[in-house]
Amino acid sequence: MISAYLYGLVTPGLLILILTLFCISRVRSLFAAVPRLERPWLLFEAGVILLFASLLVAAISDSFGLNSGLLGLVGNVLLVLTAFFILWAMVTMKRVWTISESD
Amino acid sequence: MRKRLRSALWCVTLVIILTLLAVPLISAFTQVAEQSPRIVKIRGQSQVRQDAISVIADFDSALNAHNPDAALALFSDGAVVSDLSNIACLSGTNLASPPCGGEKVFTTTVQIRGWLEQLVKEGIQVKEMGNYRVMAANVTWDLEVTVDEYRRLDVAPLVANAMAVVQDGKIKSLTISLDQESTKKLALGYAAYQRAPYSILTSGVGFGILVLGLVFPAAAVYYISRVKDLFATVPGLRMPWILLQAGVVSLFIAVLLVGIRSTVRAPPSSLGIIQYMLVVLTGFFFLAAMLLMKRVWLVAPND
Repeated sequence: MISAYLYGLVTPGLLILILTLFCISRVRSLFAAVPRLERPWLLFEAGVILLFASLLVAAISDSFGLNSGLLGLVGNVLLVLTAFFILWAMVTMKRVWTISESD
Repeated sequence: MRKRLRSALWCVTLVIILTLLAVPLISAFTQVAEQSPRIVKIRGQSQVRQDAISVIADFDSALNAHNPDAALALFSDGAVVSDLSNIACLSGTNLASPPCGGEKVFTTTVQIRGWLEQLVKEGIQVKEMGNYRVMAANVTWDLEVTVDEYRRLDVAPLVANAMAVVQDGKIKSLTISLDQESTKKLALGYAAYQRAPYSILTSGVGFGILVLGLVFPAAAVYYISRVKDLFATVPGLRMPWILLQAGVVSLFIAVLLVGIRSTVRAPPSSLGIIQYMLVVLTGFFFLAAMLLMKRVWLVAPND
């Protein structure tokens, strides 16, 4: 990958994800009044952290010209884990909300 | 009688003159034969095991044993190494050498040590092909070379041509280059590697990971729509959930591109950039969703 593209895409990407983490923590505190919603937001945060790590791994492998299968696999596994954590967060959120309504 | 004597004298004189002329001519021709590179003396099997050959054999043994010190000890002071193969500029090199590209020449002991350490680092293994050609102090031979890079590219072993000048049991100069066919093979190997930097679909585990990577965001999109309905009572929260859904859809497409890249073996520069953009877009959608959610939540209590 051309380095200009690399920096142009990855740098804002990493900054956006850091900002997202900060915003999720703020939103989580706003939802503090709703019981048992702490866990889903934490899982969502974990998902965003993994997305950050995935982007970082991809940038490192491209910067150093490491087109090895192992780093590519790690990056993709992190991407899949991101999706898993977001799914888990949403499933938990739905369950918590449904239980809250039943209660 | 006198005539006979005279003719005999002439014959003797002629023989003497011819002998006097022939000796320096033969001597000069022998010297030219020793020095001229055009006149190649292929030595027999019995003469192969001489000093020069044994030095080369020791050098190869040191390389195969991954012992750079032993290999370095075989070079004389002021030795010069020219490496025309690509081994000296493989990734991670820390050689005190000119930038990669073209011939790499190592003229100092430090540089030659660096070169030898690089060969060892690349897990070099050499195998003589047995066709030594000796001209005075010059030895040329062919060898099969295997390094980790060639193994990764699936082109190992490659055939290299080597030429060394051995004097007093030490290597005075060494030149190594890949032969024409191996150079082509290496170029093809790199081209194939560039087309497919990695393939997640080559193993069952990779395929499984990819399938899960598609199922998870698809299910997450469904669950976000359900959560969105549950939060319907809170005014203004619809948009943040839609943005969150858009982010997860971007993530789904990014994972899909991983599979497409592996299947079509697209160059990393084209689909790779789109994949980066989608990941960044995912982050952007998540950020927008959270900012909006925070704002809505802060505004709602005041209303």
